[in-house]
Amino acid sequence: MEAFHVPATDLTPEVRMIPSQGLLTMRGESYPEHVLSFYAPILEKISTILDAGKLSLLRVEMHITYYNSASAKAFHRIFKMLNQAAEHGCAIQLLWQFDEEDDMARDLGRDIREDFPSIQVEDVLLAAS
Amino acid sequence: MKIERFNQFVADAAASGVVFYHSGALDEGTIASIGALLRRRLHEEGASGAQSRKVFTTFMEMAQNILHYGAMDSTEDGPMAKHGSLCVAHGPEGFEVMCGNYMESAQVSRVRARLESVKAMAHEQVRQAYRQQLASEQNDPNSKGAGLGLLTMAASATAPIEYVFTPDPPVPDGNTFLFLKVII
Repeated sequence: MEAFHVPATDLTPEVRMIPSQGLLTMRGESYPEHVLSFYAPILEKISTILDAGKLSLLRVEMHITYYNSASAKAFHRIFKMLNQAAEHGCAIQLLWQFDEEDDMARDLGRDIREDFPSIQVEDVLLAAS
Repeated sequence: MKIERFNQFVADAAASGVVFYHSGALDEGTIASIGALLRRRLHEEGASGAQSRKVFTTFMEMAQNILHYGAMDSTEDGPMAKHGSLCVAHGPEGFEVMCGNYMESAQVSRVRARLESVKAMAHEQVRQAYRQQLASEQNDPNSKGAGLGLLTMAASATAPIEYVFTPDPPVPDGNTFLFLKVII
């Protein structure tokens, strides 16, 4: 299973997945105009790694400071994929990191818990920058 | 423009509490640049982190709505460009985030119905509608998420979204100008 790393840009987050460490991280901002062309290859890579079925635990660290509504759809697809992996025996621990005053991110964390019950979500409040 | 006119323009903008204003062609690079500038201005204006985040989020949804749904204008150089106006101002109830752009008249009744339905929602209903929309759009990969954009603005707003179509009723087979205003 190959690790991959997509560096951050002004419009897109850093995405890193290291299967040997059972780690997926996404950090930064996300409001590309063409959301699909950015996220489709990433979804594909994550899917390939999860489908190989060799991971027993994946720790997912997400800290997205700003995102547009189109990116929210991509995140939803990632969570759906992770939830399915969890149902097939790969424990998924999501560290949902957000700035303490970001009530929309807090709400989104609550939605993830309700919509994707197989993912273990842990809120991580960060002091406002 | 006469210099006296510009003087008046600047005074009017200040009197209206304008923090930021852009009118003209928009593309992804322009939006990224003015987004960065807006964030600096909000910081200088002393906006709280939460307020600044919501103003920026709303502004970006408006800008990307113009890119995705605004009617095309032909330019003198030939290529088509998306044009729109974006403004952030200080108002009595908070920051006012506004946009204006042409849209196809044929879409007006659909957009008006959507705006009315979002206006009628309480905050928690907006959140639930957002969740439902997010799940339903998974099945439609071609959707660019207009419904989600509007719900994102409504979730950031502290008052119902205001809108004006000009002219109203719209001219059939033509373009209609749509203004939106969100208070944060």
